[in-house]
Amino acid sequence: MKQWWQHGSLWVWFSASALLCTLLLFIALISLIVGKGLQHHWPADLITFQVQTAEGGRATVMGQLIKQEPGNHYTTDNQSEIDPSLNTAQQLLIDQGDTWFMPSQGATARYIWLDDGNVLQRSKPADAIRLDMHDGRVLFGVLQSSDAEPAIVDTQQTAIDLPGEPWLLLHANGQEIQVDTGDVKRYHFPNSLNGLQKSLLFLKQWWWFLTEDPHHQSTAGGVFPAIFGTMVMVLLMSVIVTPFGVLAAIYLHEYAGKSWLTQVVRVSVYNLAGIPSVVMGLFGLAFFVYVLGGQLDQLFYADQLPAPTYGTPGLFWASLTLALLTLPVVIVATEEGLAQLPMSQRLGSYALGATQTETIWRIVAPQAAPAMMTGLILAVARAAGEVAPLMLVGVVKSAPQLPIDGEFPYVHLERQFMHLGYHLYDVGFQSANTEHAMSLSFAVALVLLMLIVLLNLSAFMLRQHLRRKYKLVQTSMEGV
Amino acid sequence: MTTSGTKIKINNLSLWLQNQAIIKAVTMAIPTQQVTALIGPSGCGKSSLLRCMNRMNELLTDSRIEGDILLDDKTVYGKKIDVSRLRCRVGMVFQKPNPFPKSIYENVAFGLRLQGEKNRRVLDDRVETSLKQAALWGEVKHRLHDSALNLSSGQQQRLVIARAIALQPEVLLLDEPASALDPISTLKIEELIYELKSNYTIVIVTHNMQQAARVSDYTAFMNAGELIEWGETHTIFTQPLHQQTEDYITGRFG
Amino acid sequence: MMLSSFTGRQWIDRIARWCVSAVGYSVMLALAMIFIFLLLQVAPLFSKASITPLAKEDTVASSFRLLGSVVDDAENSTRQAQHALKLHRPVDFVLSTADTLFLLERDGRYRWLSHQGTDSRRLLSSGQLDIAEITAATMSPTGQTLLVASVDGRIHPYTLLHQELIAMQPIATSGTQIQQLLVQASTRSVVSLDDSDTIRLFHIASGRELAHYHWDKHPNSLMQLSEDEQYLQLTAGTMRQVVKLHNPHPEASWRQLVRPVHYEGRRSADYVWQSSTVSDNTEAKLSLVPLTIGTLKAAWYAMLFATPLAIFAAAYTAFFAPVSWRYRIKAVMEVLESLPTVILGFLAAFLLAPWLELHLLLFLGSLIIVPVTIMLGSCGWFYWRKKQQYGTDQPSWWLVLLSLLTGVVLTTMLVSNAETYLFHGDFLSWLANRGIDYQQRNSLIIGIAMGIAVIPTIFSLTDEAIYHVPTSLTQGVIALGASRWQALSTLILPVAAPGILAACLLGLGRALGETMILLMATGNTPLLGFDPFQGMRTLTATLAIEAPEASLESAHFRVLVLAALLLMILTFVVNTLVTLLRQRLRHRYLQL
Repeated sequence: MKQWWQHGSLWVWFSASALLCTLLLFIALISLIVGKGLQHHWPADLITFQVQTAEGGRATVMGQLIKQEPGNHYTTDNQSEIDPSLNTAQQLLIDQGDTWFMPSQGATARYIWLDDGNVLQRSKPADAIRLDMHDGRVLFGVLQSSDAEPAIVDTQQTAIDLPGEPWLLLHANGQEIQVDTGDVKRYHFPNSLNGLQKSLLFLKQWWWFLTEDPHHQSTAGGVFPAIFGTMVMVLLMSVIVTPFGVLAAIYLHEYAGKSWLTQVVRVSVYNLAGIPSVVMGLFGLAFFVYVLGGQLDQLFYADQLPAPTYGTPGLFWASLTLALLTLPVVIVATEEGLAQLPMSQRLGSYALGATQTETIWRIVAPQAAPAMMTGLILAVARAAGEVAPLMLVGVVKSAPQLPIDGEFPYVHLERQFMHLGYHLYDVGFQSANTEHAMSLSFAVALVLLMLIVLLNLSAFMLRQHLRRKYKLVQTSMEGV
Repeated sequence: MTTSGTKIKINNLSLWLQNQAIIKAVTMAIPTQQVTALIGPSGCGKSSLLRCMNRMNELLTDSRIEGDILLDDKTVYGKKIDVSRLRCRVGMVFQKPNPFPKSIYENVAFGLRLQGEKNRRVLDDRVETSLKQAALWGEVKHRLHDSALNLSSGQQQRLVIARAIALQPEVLLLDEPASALDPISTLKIEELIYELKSNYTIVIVTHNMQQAARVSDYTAFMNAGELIEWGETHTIFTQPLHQQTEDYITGRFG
Repeated sequence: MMLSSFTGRQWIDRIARWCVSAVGYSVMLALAMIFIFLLLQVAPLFSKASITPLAKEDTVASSFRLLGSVVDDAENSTRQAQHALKLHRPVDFVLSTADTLFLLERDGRYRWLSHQGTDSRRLLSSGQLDIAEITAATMSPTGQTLLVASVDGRIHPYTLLHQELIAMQPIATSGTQIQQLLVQASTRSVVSLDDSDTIRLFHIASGRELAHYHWDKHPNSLMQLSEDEQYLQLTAGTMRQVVKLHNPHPEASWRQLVRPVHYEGRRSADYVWQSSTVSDNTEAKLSLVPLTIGTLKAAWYAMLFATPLAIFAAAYTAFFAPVSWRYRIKAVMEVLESLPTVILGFLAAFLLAPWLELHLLLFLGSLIIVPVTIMLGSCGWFYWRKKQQYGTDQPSWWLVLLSLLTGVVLTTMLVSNAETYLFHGDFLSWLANRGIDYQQRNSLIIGIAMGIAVIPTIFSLTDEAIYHVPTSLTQGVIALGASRWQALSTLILPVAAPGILAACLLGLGRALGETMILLMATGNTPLLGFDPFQGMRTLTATLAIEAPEASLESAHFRVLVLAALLLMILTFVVNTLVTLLRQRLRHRYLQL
């Protein structure tokens, strides 16, 4: 025992398991987001459940099976109370679609728990249809033609090409409603699609998700304005941060010398990278929006006062704030690149009669360009994931207009905009209510994650490539 | 060997780096179109003296200079001197080859492009002659647009020399040009120096006594920042005036 | 070729140098400006209040309207009250507000009536104040605060709460008898006029004297407030003087920000953050203490979770794992580090929190059982390898994984039984019966979620610190017969200690400044204390929620800026320490 303790294999095991734990956490995290995010758009089968009710009668429920869990479920209306009647068998969570169109039945919950023991029969009718309405509702049922015969509809279709008369939708519990074809945005017959068709539909749904506007307080539709807003904001920020960051780094490394003052300045700049982003947001709000924006309004938009033009949070101020936030990132990365460049290269250039500017422009900058690129990508990745400062300086839940459109002057820097991260925050808080919003949140999170991971991986690879490259060139400054 | 005038004249030159005296009141002359070798133990200031001749020492922080250097009887330390032009006239090659991460062609043409030379024909011409003078043309003429980093270090050093002479300088400063190379490459460089001295005034710093003896016409021996003695190589190596010089060249210290 | 002429290239060089330097300086200046600007925003918070007399000919003095009707009303109500209550002798002080009437005698007896409409009066309560002799009394227009001056010159504030008078901290004055008291309702301040004809302005809740003004030689003077409460008119016979009360931010002072304060409508002095006021009648309560404690609490639990995991994992990566692994793990960590915290916050709030509520015992149990399993695994492995005469340095990773998973499975099995037999089937209600309140969004959630955010930061720096210890050191110790762990613990870790400390500090800096996770998963209730099953409200989350709604010049906004400055200084100090430690480390490695 003593030997084992002294040898320390316990600690090796502990450290190995710490690493494994961390990696497992990471894998769980990523696969959770990816899995749940992808699942959101997978065309799930519509299942008809024959259920025995408490009174001994029978009921029919049609819907998508969301999840299946062992008992011990909380009652749907009281999250803190355990419903003892649901304590035994497997529990099924069913998405019935929007059911509030049936006034006779009252507003039933869209999501219901079924006790597996009570399910008498399951079936997947091939003609079960899912309708996505223009008003954001989702309806499940079976189509009927007006004379109560099953409608002759090509079940492989996914887009509206049936003009004219309204459809009759037969709900699983026997009720019928009339659906105006004009109100239907899309439909498909999930049970009759094969794997390939489902995959195609899945891709299409993703495409719609990425390119459409959200509606119904962001619980339906796509995320296009959020992606667009993020992109425009990040682009604008890059345009601001790159010249300043790169020139400041060049100044610090090439011109400023090595006095204690520059050391202090350098340490301060580096430390700025650690300042909480929300503090930067507050500065942006107080200085950019209120002070600068207020001044701009007085000077140029006096006719519109007291309604503020630039004196209110908006795209430009958000970009400026994030530029300030990511400035240290660009400076640090660029300076690192400049420092890796051997001094002999500069000396060689000077010896040929080049001035300092020519040396920097022709020898130093081209070789440090990948480092600048890395810095910029890291800055962009950080900006794309940052939410807290944006909440203060310009992001909104839903912006009526895009920051760039066909209206003169085309780019509207004063407009508020949508942002993926904030969209997730917004939708996330609604997800406490419904399973649907939860699943939607995962889809949004997945888009955001993909964006960030892509950016960061490319920065990481660029940096590794850079390090390898400089190992070949590495020659030190001689004789000094 | 004949003295055919003085190219560079060093007048009572002293140099301080970070308040430390590196060169102490050195006075000497570099004869035109001859090879002058600066020898001495490490840290004796010979490299620094070399750097003073094209004002490369200014790139180091905190350097201070007293005295003067005259190039063709005109000072190089005047206030209004264009350092770029000075460095075009006084080329320099460093201890380790430092080709730029560009093609061979662009390396040689770099200085010319700085001068604003855009004529393709002139550039081609000058690159060719420079590479020929540097005895590299035969080895690289078919891959002028390959990266210079792919050359061997001996070739790289000759490329750097070609790069320097492409500007048609009057003086070539070589700072231990062969110390990082293998014996065969060293030999090639030495042959090259011998070839080049008909066109250029060459100052070479070297650690290697045999090298100094082989390639130089004149030799200056420095120790601890002071110029101990200088004169024709033959004289220095056979009848040194100072005991220190004799100790050094016979390998008793250094 | 002439040497001494200036060419275009030289000029370009100069201009470029000038431009780059200008940009460099401007960037530095901009960054410095952030700090200065925020300071300037905070500064007015601590500007002194003042009472300044206006010149006779000042137009304001003659044009403002007095809040004079109060006096008439009071006389009116006095008469009414006497009539209605059939009082036989006049009451000394009759204080009335919109719906209450407070009758106070000099000896401290009081009656408190409600009057709705004109005639319906009802006695709310009556009793005796614990004051020997009352010289002046007033009540705030909202009727929530009663102020009474005693004969020794002290002012006793009372807050009216559920028909009960609760004494607040008495305000000590100069000791001179007070003739008159007036409440400046908008700033929760009281003005007193004493026998020495000095006007003093006090903040009621904190009892702080804000300003005073001496009006010379005018005995028996009377004060009246203007309608906007900005001016005070003093009259003594025919003499009249108007003074301006400048009282910008009485609700914020160091004392109020960091000490417990007894606010009106509360039972006792406390640390309270309640910035959003329901109406003008309630006072903003701006104590930074609960927020700072919240920030520290969140950071503490995050570090508690992250530090051991990250340091052990980094030690393994840098010292035990093959180099080819190291690069891959570092790439993974880099991705993990850049994970937007809004995603982590979302997962924590809506997935982890409900899960942990159901499986709290599983989580707590695994914290004990899993390490024990690993311990057993390592012990068994060690003696097995020894017996088999194998080397005993490195376990293969799947063995460790196996024991890890065994631990988890074991915990699951044990916990479901334990919950049934020990905790009557439900751990949470068992806890609740013992007075432990479990909130769904609590410090454990934050510890895990923010821990995940912080792990990569600590991991990267620790890994670098350990990896870059010169290998000659390791080889030296191992050559002396030490195991690899012994080499690590006796030599490498002490050498790398500054680096590891720097890593932890950097992680701490990140935890202090994190916003989104805290905003989404803490519940945002400003609480005191370090209870792991309770939530908190942090400085950062408060900034994110409240700053967009606070108006620019208000005390609330300025206090938020102060909070931001506090955070900024905190993280700046932490980061500077990190830089210094890392420099020291680099220096140490160069020496080795």
